[in-house]
Amino acid sequence: MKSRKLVLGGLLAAATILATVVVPITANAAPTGDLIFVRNQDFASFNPDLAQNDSIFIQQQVYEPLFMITQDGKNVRPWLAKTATVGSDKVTWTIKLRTDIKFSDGTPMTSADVKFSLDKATAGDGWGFLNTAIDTISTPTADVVVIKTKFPWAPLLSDLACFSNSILKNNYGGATAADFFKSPIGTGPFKLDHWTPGTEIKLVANGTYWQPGKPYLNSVTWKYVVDDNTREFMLKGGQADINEEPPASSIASLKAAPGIKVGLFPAAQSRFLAFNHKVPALSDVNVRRAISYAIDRKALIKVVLSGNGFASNSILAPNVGFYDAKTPGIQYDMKKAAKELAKSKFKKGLTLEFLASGGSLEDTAVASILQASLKKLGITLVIKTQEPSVKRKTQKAMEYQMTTTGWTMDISDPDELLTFALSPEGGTNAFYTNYSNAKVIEAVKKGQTNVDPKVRQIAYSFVQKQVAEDAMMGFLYNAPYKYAWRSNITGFAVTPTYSYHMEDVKKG
Amino acid sequence: MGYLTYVGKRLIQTLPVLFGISVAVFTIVHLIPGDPADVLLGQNATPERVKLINHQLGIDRPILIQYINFIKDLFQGSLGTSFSNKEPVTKLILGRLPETGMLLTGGIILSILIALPLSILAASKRGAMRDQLVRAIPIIGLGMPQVWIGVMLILLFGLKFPLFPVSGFGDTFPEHLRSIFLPSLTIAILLSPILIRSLRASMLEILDSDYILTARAKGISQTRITFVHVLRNAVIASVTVLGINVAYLVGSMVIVERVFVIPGTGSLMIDAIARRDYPIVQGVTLYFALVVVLVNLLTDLIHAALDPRVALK
Repeated sequence: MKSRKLVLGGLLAAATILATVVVPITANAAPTGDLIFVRNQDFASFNPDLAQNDSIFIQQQVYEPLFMITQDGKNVRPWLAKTATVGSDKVTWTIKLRTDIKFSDGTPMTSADVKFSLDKATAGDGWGFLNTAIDTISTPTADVVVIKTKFPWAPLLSDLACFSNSILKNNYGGATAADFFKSPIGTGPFKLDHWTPGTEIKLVANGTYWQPGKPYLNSVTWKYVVDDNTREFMLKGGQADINEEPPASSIASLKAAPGIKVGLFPAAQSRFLAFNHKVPALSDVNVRRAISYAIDRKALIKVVLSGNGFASNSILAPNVGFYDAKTPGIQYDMKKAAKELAKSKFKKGLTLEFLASGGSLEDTAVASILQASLKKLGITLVIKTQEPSVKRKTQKAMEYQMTTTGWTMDISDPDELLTFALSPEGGTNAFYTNYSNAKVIEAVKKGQTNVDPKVRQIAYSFVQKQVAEDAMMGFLYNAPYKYAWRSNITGFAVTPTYSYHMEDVKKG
Repeated sequence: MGYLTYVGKRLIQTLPVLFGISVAVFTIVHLIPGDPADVLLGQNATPERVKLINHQLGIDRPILIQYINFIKDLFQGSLGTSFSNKEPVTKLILGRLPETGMLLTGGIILSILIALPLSILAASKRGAMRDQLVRAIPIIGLGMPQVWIGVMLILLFGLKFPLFPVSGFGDTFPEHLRSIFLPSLTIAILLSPILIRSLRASMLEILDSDYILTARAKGISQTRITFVHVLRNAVIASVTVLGINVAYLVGSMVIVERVFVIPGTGSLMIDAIARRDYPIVQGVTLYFALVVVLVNLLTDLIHAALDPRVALK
């Protein structure tokens, strides 16, 4: 009887130890907490080729690429891939895949899924341009993919880290593309629970996720809340956990609010003043330089960003790989502006038109600050306002003179922007400016096709210097990504290329 | 004329109204600057892709053909398919009706609950301080923008004294009721001054009439005079006022839904305008027009039921 009691006692003690030690570990491993995001953009599609900012961040929680952009935004690291090696011919890339990856339906990821996904991405109308260098993709084994490029292509791994090259299930898992994108299957930390267009989209933890113990959260819901005040109230009232892009004017009050944290994450994004070089006056480099000197960037940052930003001096943002801090980007200097204009054919003054987007605080600020500066030089600035989508159309049709434009990097390599903005292959007539400089185009090409980082740095430093001297566009400012969250949320961070890892986020 | 014949005739009369609205909406929607395909494609819009999408959406056809197709679909009970999410517009509107319906009902109920006692209080002694206050304070409410009223209510009852959620519609019926209280109150603050004004004026007019004097002479209590003889007759005119203002209310709800993140038809409409989703804009506008027409019809029927002297012609 005694020994039985001893055994029972021992069992109880063991159970108690198990309860105190083992159970909490198990409890920690199970996802807990339902996180609510509020944002002023409505999710639009699970098709990576159609992804814009409204959908990219959410897609990234469901699908993953072979390589992942590092937290500083300047490099990539293996993700679904284990290693990547380039052959001596500089065009054959052998990529070994991880073998422990499963899709959210429980099936393993293989090289067939990778080939299908990359082929689809390359053929895509939206982001397929990133893969133009890819020639062939072959799959010698289930865990090896060989990519041959048409020519040596340095940005390949950065391109493969873009959301547009996310790995989907081979042949859409037997479904049609339309059906697949309604019920997507990916390898990401979360899977779709429900999506109500115009209201919210909810993702729940993917039980088959490959990173042990992750995700920490049980679910993440992105609610579409247009009104800035309402988003702030929801955060303060506990109805939301993270507020995406609160207005710059509210940052100071949010920082002072109890229980709220604010993150201003360095961003690989830039704002520019675009010049249409087809306009005779703006084809004159001295006029462009004069206008660039006349932009009071400090005033702009104060008005538009409530001081949360800094003046831009390069076509590249400081968080982009190969950014050169020594780039002599033109800064505010009215004396130099007057000298530049005096060198031009328009020293007696001229009239120019600024195309503003209706309802845009930025455009109103740029237009009025620039108008005041240019008046001192004898340049009359006429402000014309158009509805945003009409403005975009006017800009693309090159029927404007000056307007604002911008860029956010999607990959860590500067090639994405530089090809788009400077090379004829970008297909945008150099950011719809009609700028063309043969030496710059040659340097962009050199940067693309040379895998040696030193050679690339020389090429890209030249590009930045020359583009600044040519005043291809007026560089305005670099603004951070703004987020506010409740203090019980930990592990939330945004990369310069504007993505976040919700698998790392905890709700206390 | 019987009720059913009257209702039938009125419903037939609404058809030309709805036809006129459909023409106006269709024309105005197509005059909004911006291209649906351009908005759908965003930064990735190229002339070729815009052309292709416009062809797929059928908006590259002559506007008259587009209108005829729209009317054809309408006669088959379809309001078309959304450009942006490919769902039938009828389904999208029906999916948002409970939210809008509850908000509309909540706003009307709260307006009546505010207007009725205050009107009785004001009319009970013309020119007294309470009469002056009841007339003055709601007018202040009437002069305030809805957005501001909504934001103030959120700050006070959502954050300072967290009695109600600051936004959303909730998941269960009790949560719906809690969620729509503040937005309904926002609507009521705007609507009740109009009702108070109308009800007070009617009550004062009736209180001066001979039959009330007779009732008093017969020794009938003031409470009975107020609730049975005065209020019932005074309400008749206010029902018409309420009915007319429902049209205004429908417009108000678009903004209120936005501030309180109520996923109703108003929010659907605003998003659709931003996306140039013509079928949704047309569908929701027609639905709003139908609501206004039906509420006016209902107002006339209630008017006739309350006042036997009103003939249904």
